[in-house]
Amino acid sequence: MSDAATLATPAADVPPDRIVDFDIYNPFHGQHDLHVAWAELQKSTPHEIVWSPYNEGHWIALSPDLINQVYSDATRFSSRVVLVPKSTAGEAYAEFIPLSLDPPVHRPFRKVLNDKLYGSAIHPLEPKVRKLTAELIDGFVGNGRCDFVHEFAEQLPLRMFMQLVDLPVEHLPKLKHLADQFTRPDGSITPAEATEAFKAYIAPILEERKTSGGDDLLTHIATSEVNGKPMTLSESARLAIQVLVGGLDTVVNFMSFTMRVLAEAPEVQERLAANHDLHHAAINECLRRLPLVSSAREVVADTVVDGVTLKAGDMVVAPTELYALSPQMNDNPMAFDLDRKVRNHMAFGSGHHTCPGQFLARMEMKVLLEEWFARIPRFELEPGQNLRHRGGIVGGCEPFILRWPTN
Amino acid sequence: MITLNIVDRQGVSTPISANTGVSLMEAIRDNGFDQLLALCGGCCSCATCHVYVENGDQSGFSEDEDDLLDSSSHRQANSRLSCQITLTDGHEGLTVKIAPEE
Repeated sequence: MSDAATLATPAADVPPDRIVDFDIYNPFHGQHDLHVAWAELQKSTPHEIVWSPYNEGHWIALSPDLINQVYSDATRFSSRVVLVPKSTAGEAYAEFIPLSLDPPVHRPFRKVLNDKLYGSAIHPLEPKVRKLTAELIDGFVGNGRCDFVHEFAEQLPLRMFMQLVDLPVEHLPKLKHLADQFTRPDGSITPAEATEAFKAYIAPILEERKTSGGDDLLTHIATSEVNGKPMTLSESARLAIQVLVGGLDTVVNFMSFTMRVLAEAPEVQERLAANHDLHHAAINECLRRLPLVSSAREVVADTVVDGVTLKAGDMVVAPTELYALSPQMNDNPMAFDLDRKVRNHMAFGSGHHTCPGQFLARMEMKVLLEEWFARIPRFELEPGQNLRHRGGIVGGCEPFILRWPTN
Repeated sequence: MITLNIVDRQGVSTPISANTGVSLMEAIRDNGFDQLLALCGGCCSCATCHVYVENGDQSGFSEDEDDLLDSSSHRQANSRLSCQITLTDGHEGLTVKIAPEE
């Protein structure tokens, strides 16, 4: 988060009416809803692109078409750097593979992840996800209430992820702290220090897994060939760290957003409890209504967009939130509507870097809804809470309490 | 405009009109079939626009598409990623079935 003392000065040719008072790490302006904050920014200006002085100064794409271009046109918008502030979080993250690579170099590294995360590769995990989901819910269902973020959302995806990479669950707090330094830094260490700590942690584990014979994702990374030859230890470490950072945040937050929205929609709960066939539409509508990633790209060469010149090296933040919450993409976009015919969103991004964890995320969401509604068909937010979202590259929910009737 | 028959996961067949020159994925998605996720937007990166094409069309088939289809448990001889097929007049009347969810 920035303060006034660290605001960047705009380049001389940035028109004053493009400059917005909007810090992606603290976008709230007195209210507490991340999606409202983004929608208000979009409504506040007729422009497709604006400039924010926070976080070293960067552009923000606001129109769905431009957001899509930023994610999918690597010839103009490189993913060498994907985070702001650029000089700290951005450059520290720029070491990671495959997100920092553009096509065509990107593809063979990405395939290593796809092998273990796509389609059929995650099916064997579903019974484990179901068992852990049932155990977690059974642990609190009799209480008639739970702190959903702490007691479920921070438990299920993270524990499953640790199984996927075959690391001990006791390492979770350390890894989560390091991962958060990129998407929601707390100032305790610099992003560069977090990268070094990650490397020191992962390098000996990858060395050992070259010969350990396991079938987990880290073993696959340690033993995979890229372009016909083994990866260097540096390459495999940078790939493994990317997986750890990407796997430790997003599903936690998406589950939290989802259950908060459902808690306030009794009529939706009733339908989901009565008909599990509607869960598919519910997950898709949550992905559409509750996207949570605002990543960035680096401008490759000077280019004119919507009448302003973006210079080579400038950063452009592209909020996936605004893609789906734009009236051009979805009618009545802020409404949660289980019966929409068409849903346009890019909650998993777009283009070559589309989230490789999407199948795991969807499967975990499906299991959550099935096991939850089988046990807790009606629930609500406990009254009197402070309900707040968090900003950042990956948005989130502050902890909240759900309650339900018990017999 | 051409006409295609889209068969959803429940086996219901629906005729749709589509422009030529766009991808099969876009034609299906823009007609409101939300079973076809097409998450990457059509750059052959996510494998979520998997369909079965009646005529076994192999136009535009690439090694990347082959790799992605390999990750599916539901691959068949006529499997395609619908983002990789550009519609032409030759597709008039084609029947396309949306593959099961992974």
